[in-house]
Amino acid sequence: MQTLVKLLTEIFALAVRFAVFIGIAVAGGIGTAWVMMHDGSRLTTTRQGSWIAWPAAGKVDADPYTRAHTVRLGLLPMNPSLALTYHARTDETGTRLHSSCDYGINLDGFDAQWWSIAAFDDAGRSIRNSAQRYAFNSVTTMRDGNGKARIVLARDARPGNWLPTAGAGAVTLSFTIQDPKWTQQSVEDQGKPRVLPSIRKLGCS
Amino acid sequence: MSSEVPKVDTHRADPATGERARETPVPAPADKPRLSLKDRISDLTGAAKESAARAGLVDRVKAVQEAAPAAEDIRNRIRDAASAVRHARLNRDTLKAGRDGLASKVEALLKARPADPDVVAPPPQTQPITPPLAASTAVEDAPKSTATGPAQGVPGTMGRLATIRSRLAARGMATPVPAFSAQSSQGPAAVANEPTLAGVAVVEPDMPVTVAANRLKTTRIVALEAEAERSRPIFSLGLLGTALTAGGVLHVLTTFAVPWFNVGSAFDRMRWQLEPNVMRVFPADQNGQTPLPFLTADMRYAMCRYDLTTNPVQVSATLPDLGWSLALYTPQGDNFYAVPGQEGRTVTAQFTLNTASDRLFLPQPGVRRSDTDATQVTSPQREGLLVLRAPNLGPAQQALVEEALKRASCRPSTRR
Repeated sequence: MQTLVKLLTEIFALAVRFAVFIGIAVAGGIGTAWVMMHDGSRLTTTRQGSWIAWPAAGKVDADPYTRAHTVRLGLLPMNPSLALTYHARTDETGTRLHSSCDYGINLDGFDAQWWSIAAFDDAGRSIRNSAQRYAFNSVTTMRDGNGKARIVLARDARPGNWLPTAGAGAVTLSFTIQDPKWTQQSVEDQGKPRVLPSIRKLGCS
Repeated sequence: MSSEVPKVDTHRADPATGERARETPVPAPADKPRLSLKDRISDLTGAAKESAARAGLVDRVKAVQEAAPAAEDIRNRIRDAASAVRHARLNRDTLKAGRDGLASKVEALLKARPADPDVVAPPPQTQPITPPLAASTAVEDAPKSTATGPAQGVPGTMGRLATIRSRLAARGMATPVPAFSAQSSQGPAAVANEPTLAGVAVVEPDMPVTVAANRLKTTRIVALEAEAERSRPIFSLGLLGTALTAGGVLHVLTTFAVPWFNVGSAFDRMRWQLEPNVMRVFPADQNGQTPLPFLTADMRYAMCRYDLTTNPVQVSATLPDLGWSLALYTPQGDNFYAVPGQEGRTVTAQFTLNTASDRLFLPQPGVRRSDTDATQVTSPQREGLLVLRAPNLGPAQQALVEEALKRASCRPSTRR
């Protein structure tokens, strides 16, 4: 009986050790790999405010994390020497963008040749809306007399550049800049990208 | 009738005075008949016996004769006691030697066992220390020589053990109590319920010292290893390191496996929607749906899945304005070639897409080749995606954008 208890105890201890071993290996290995592929790190991403870009995305000699990020999300990024795409999941205070809140994007002083801002849900799909507004770019954005532009994300209609977000839940913004001169300076000045539009929360309902 | 002759013991002392009696001359037997010598001796012997009987010498002799076995027994007991003391001293020496070995073993285990700061240190155990060899020195129980507990009066060993205990406590490990025992086979199992490191080594009184010492040492090592096994945490630092190493390997494998297996990539998602080497223009979806995630709906897209397995591919597209672009991708999403649109001028992209091996064999006749006047772009892989992007500038521009997209082509080159 004592031998049986001892044997069962040994088996239990072995099972616990194996479970902890697998847990650490899987959580520590695949979990950290997932974080590095999904959120990136300072080694692989450039951050300014809420905007995050993978400056090596699209390059033939991209690092493994960037390539894995591109493949896993099914992206087709252009070479960063021609265009750079930023994504934002939070406002300027770090709060997750959500369709229950209104946000204002100020484009004062942004001077890139061509750019586009689009709103997606968390899976990267365009947010369906009856107004058929999915994105604004440097051509379609209305500006005031001083050349300033402001895009508002809201569930209900707003005057001016309104991007509907109703029903999306978590919102992700994509900001594509196609200006070789601008992107080249940003890529070469990693860590000190040029000024990007701020995302300010206007209120929640 | 014979006269009574006073009998005087000339050799005995007067019990009262302690003085020897004066020798009184025996009167001449003038008026008595002369006795023969034999009778005389007999009389004297009888007188001596009577005198001795009076003095109690016979009883004393008998007592001495009766006491002789008891004296022998006492001598035997004294011998046994001396033997017991001798064996007890030997046991004490072997205990001391074994304890030194124990200390070395504990230190070796401590060195082989790294510290675990997360383990809460248990309260130090207070084990009463019995005097060394107290039981073994009992003369009456000499064959049952039993020695229990760590020896006091051995400063070096005790000092080392105290150091080991303090180090164990600092590392959060249970403090082992080296309560070993040595006892004879005839003695009781006094330490059967001793905690932690208790062990019992059977030492016979006539056992050689080296054998007894080895037996004690073996018992201590076994007990120590058992205690080390009991006090070992369920997940040691070594196993943690191994798990982290395995996690690191898994991390690297996962990171490299995702692009390698290419599951969920843009090419993988578009593979079955696109015919090879045919340009497809995606319509402007009223619901804003795009063929791939994070493709902005304010753009129009035309795509071609090129396949260079059989022939090079000729690509032709016109980029009329800023915001237009043509990009070539590998299945892993590497953009190895791109042409951006320019403001105020139309850019024409016309080139032949081939592989490095195609370029190597290009001069040879009969091998597939393309128009050498055209620009040649080398694809790092035989398959990939061509994406033509056009800004959707509203209904007024939609027809122009549609026409420009439809003019783009992606077709296999003809052989010459």
